[in-house]
Amino acid sequence: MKELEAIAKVILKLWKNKKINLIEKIIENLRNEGKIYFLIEVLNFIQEYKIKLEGREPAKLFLALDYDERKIERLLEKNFNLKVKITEKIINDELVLGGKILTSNYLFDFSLRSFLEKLFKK
Amino acid sequence: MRALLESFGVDYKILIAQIIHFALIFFLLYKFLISPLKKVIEERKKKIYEGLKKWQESEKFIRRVKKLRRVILKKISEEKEKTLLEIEEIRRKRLEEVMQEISDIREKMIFNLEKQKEIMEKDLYLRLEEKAPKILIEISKKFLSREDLNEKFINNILSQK
Repeated sequence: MKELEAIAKVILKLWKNKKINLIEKIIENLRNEGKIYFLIEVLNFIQEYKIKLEGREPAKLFLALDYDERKIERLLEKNFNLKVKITEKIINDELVLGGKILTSNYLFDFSLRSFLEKLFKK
Repeated sequence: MRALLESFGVDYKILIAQIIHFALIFFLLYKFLISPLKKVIEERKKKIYEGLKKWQESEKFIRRVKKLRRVILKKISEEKEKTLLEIEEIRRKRLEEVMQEISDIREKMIFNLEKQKEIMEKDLYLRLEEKAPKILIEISKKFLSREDLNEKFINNILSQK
C-alpha cells in the first residue's frame, strides 16, 4: 500500500509539473517489472485523492433499486452535512428499499431492511 | 242295744253283714282304685307342680334372656353408633387427605402447565423473533420493490435530520 501510495503521489507531482515523459517512464518501468496491474490501483488512489482534495469522501453506494446517486449526494450534504462522492454503485434487492453508503470511515445505512431489523431487535 | 236296734227295725246281723260288706268294698276300692288313683293324681300333681316350677323358671329365664337381649341390643346399638362415627371420622379424614392430594396434584399440574406455557411462549417469541424479520423482508420485497416507492423512501429518510 505504501508503495502504491508513493507511486501515485510521484505521478501526481509529475502531472502537476507537466512532466509527462517521466510519467511514461514510470509506466514503462512498471510494465517491465510485471506490475502493470498497479496502474489500476494507482488510478483509483488518484481518484480518491482527488475527491479528498475536494473535501469529499469517496463512497460505495448500495441501492435496493436504481436511483440517481448525485441526488443522494446532495441530500446527504444538505441534511446530514456528509460530503461524499460516490465512486461505485451496486444494486442489491435484499435492501428492499433505500440503500447504504460505505466510506473508509463509516457506514450510513438508510435501507428499509435495516429499519425492519432494528424494529425487531427492540 | 239289741232291743233298741230292733225297735228301729234294724237287724244287727244284716247290719254287721253290711258293715263287713262295706268294709270289704271300701278295702277293695281303696286297694285297687283309690290308692292307684291317688298315686296317679299325686304323680300328676307332682308333674304339674314341676311343670309349673319349670314354667316359672322358664319365665324367669326368658325374662333374663330378654333383659340380656335388650342389654346386648343396646350394646350393639352403641357399638354400631360408635363404629359408624369412627367410620365417618375415618372417611372424613381420608376424604380430606384425598382432597389435599388432589389439590396438591392440581397445584403441581397448574405450576407445570404455567411453566410449560412460559417455555412455549418464550420458544414462540424466539421463533417469531428469528423468522418474522425474514418473512417481513420477503413480503416487503414482493410488495414494495417499486422505483417510485424507492424514490419516496430515499427522499423521506434522507430529509430527516
